[in-house]
Formats: sequence, structure tokens, C-alpha cells
Amino acid sequence: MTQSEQNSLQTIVNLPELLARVDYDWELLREIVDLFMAEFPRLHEQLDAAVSQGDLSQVEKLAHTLKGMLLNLSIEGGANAVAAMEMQAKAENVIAVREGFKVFESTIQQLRPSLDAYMAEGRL
Amino acid sequence: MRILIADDEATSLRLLERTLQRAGYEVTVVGNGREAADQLCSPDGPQLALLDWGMPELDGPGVCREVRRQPNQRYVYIVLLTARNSKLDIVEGLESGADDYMVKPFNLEELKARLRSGARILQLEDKLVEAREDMRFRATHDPLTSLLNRGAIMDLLGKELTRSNRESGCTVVMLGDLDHFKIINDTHGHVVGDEVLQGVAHRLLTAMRSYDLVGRYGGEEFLIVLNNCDLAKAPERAEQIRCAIAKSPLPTSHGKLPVTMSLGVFASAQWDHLPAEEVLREVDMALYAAKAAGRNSCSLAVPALTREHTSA
Repeated sequence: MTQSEQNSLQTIVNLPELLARVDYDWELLREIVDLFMAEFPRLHEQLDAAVSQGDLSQVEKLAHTLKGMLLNLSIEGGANAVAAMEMQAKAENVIAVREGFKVFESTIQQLRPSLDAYMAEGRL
Repeated sequence: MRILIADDEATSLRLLERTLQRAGYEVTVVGNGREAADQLCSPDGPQLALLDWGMPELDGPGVCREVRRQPNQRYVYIVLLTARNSKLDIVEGLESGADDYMVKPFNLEELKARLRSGARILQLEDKLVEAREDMRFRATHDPLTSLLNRGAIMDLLGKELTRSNRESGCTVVMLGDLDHFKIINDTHGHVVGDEVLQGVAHRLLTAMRSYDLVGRYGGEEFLIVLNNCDLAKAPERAEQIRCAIAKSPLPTSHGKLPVTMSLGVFASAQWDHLPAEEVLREVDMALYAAKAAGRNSCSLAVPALTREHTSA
């Protein structure tokens, strides 16, 4: 993992907070990240579809689920972005939801490659 | 301590499961609200629960409401752990019956501290229930023999007569009195007298079916209520009880003492709303007849109505 990838991960994930949450259990952390990596693409895809279809109740539900998942992993920027989407979906503001999804996409853009690299390196 | 975790999100569920296992909890995990409610409402379910808000089938507040609706259930301490963080959500969550509310992401030490606080409340509740049950027992039982006391046995007799009237089932009421108990007290002292009463109580309980009722009516008098009996077999049952008392001398701190009991017996399937006090009067008269017949015997009551018919 390059220095820039490591820096990138640290700006996306609040690692000290996450480690404290798992009580410095690296095995558990790895398991949780694996679960996240398995679940996240599916939820992300469903959110994308719901946003495209303007299905605001589905957006609200999925954004809420993603928010909980991202918060557990201390991925604060991503969690804030979906939290904003959840609120806008509740307020039935389709335009703001679409804008919010773009923000979310850009926030988590680096997440997957950074986590992948981190996992591959055996750091997690 | 057992704890139920309900969350439909896999990372959250696993994170909490492992964290709480390491903290010493016996953890059960479920992925939907319906399953959570079923487990928490079962008599031997966990008493501590950590619930997510949004779940399939039934949400967290729904689970809380369902658990709180259960009558006479052991208390379940519920913590809602959710990403919903508005004041309105907190109020709604607590109003639904949750005891505590935490917002995701959780801080491990705070979560553990809040669960310890829940466990303390459950322990306090256990102590209160135990104290209440102890008081209930003391209020309804004779402290010497642990049989039902006079108030409780009379209350139950009234209920049994009502039930018997309604269902036209036969009920047998017996009043047993120890023969020459005063001599035991005068000769050996009240401590031995108490030992005899305890021994007799034990023999009576051993001779009863689990659903029969027996109480200490007075000093050395015992009231026995047998429900759903065969009317024709009432004298035989009374004889069995008499024999159970007299079968062998009772061991006491002053050696083995012979003890016998006289019994008045009133059996009927047609009580005609006769009050318990009136039934007692009839049984008492039968007991008097048993004593007059030489003691250590049983005598069947002749109800007032029959007596009037006979004398006419």
C-alpha cells in the first residue's frame, strides 16, 4: 500500500475510533470489513437504482441502513452523505437526493480500493 | 447474563455479538423484530435486549410495545441502539417501552456501562419480586406448618364451592382435629406440640393430590378440600387420611408419640350456593360426631336439609 493510499484510508475511516470499538481485536475488525465488503456493493447498487427511479421511500430505507453500517465502521464522511440523503428523501426532495447521491459517490470513491489494498497487505 | 441482539444489518450484528460475548454475556442474535419479540416474550427468554430500530417484520419500538403488553412477564430491560438520532425518535423509542436509547455508532465502554446498569435494574427487580413473593407466602401461609392459613384456605374453599356449583363436580370438605393434643402440649411442652403439628402437616400433604387444598384452620384443626372427587369415595378418602396420620407414632425431640385425628366430612356435588361458613358449620358438627364416637374416626355430615326431611 502506498503512502497516499494509506493517507486516503485514514481520511475515510476513523481508524482509532474503529479500533476502540472492536476493542483492538484485529480478527474481528477483519471479519467486519469482510462483511462490509460483501454487503456494501449490493446496497450501493440498490441505492443507485432507487435514486434513478425516484423511489424515495426506498432511498430513505437504504440510506438509513447504509448510514448504520458506515457509522459502525467509522466511515464518517460516507455516513454523513447518506444521512443527508435520508433526510432529503424523507422531505421528498428528489433533486436534493440526486445531488446527495453524487456527494456520496465521491466520498466513498476511494473507500473500496483503499480497503482492498489494506486487506491485501494484511494490515486488517 | 443472557442478552438478545436484534439487528438486520450483518456488520452491526456481528460486531455487537462478538463484543458482548467478550464482555461475558451469553448472546443470542436474531435478524428481525418478529423473532426478537417471540424470544423476549417466551417465559425463559433473555431479560436483556439490544434492539435496532428498523428491522423486517417488526421494528424495534414494535418489539418494545409487544413485550410490554405481556401480562405477568419477568421484566425485560430493552436498549434501543439505532442510527436514528432526532429528539423525536428518542422520545418515540422510549415511549414505546425501551428503557434506554443509544445512537449508532456506539462507544464500546458506554455500551457496556449502560448494559451493566440494565443488569443492576434487573437484579433489583428480581429482589423485589422475591420479596413480594415472600410477603405473599407469609400472608397466606401458617408460619409453623407452612400450610395455607385460615384466611387463605377459607378463601379458596369459597372459590372451590363456586367452581363446584358451576361445573356440578363433587367437592369434599373435611375438618380434621388432632385427638388429645392438649395432653401432648401439657406433657411434653409446646415445642414438642409444634413438632407434632409440623409432622401432621407433612403427613397430610403427603396423603393429598397435588391439586387438593389443605390449611391450618385453628390450633390443631386442619381444613382439607378435595376437588373433582367421586362422591361415593369420600368416606374412603377420609379414612385414608385418618390412617395416614395414625399409621405410626410421630418422631419428635421427645421420642415417638402416637397421634390420631378425628375428621368431619361433607361431600356434595350440589352445594346450592351454600356459603363456605355454612359448609364449615356442617363439617364441624360431623367432626363433633366423630369425637363423640370415640375419636380417631371419620363422620359424614348430614346436611341441614336432610336433617329437616328426616325429622319431618
